[in-house]
Amino acid sequence: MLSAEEKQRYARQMWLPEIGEQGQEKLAASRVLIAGLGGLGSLSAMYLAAAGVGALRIADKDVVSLSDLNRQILYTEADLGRIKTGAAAERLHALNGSCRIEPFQVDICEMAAKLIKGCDLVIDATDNVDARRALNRAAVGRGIPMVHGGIDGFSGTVTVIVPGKSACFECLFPDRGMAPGPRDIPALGPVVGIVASVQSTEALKLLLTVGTPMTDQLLMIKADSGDFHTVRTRRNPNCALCASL
Amino acid sequence: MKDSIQIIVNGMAETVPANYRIKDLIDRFGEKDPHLIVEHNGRFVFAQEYRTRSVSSGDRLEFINPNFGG
Repeated sequence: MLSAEEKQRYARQMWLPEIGEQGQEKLAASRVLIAGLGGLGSLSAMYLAAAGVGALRIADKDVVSLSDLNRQILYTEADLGRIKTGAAAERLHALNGSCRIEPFQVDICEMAAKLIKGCDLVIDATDNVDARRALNRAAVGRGIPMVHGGIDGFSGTVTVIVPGKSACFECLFPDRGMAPGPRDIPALGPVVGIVASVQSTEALKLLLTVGTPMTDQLLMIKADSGDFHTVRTRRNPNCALCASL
Repeated sequence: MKDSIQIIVNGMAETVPANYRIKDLIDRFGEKDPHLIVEHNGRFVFAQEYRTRSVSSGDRLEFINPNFGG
């Protein structure tokens, strides 16, 4: 049951017939894992907290550095050197005190299976293939939907993974033992913002079970030319992870 | 049957031998990214199909580098 204050706070989104009071209660009862608190995770965490998602489990092992501040809008100069999960938890709590924040300063590759337990949905906001693969494995293993997002300079990608029903990360990017070495990936704040905004929208749609999720499609964003393009995908019959589901 | 066909790769016209495979095109364009996204007439192509799937006259292909930063 929503309080009078909550009804006022969320009024604008509750005006949407797809949300209403019932939808808002669904959000309040949801727990989302934000895996990675860089550029993508910053924005998704803020949008989901602001929208009234009941609990956010936030995971990252890093500390805030100066070169993060061009895009990681959860943090300020006062946070430099602080553990990201600590700084993020404070900021998110200030944004919405009703949202329970569960911070985990851990390596997502190592802890994916534990992090995901008890969550209704995962936002993949990580910054490397290994972490994405680990999260996908955990999400598919537990049957938890995941919203994948990635950026590289002016480009971005979003897709929604519903295990057993749509293509998973491994379907599209099978582990062929040829992962490229780590590299510093260029990142422009507003491009990160576009991708995270699409991810957050997809997350809310899934939690609310409204609209059509962006499953079996890769949204490819090229901000330098303003091109938004969808590549149609499907489950890979040879997928080592989900073909048998 | 024609010996060569015209296709569109990354928005540009290309003349390639008939029965050219996706793998041949990847080699021709020097694409090395192990996670390369290949779009063939609007559809994603699985890596296991690269050696078997051939292109036809008028086909459109895109080679897209994935975005894994966050």
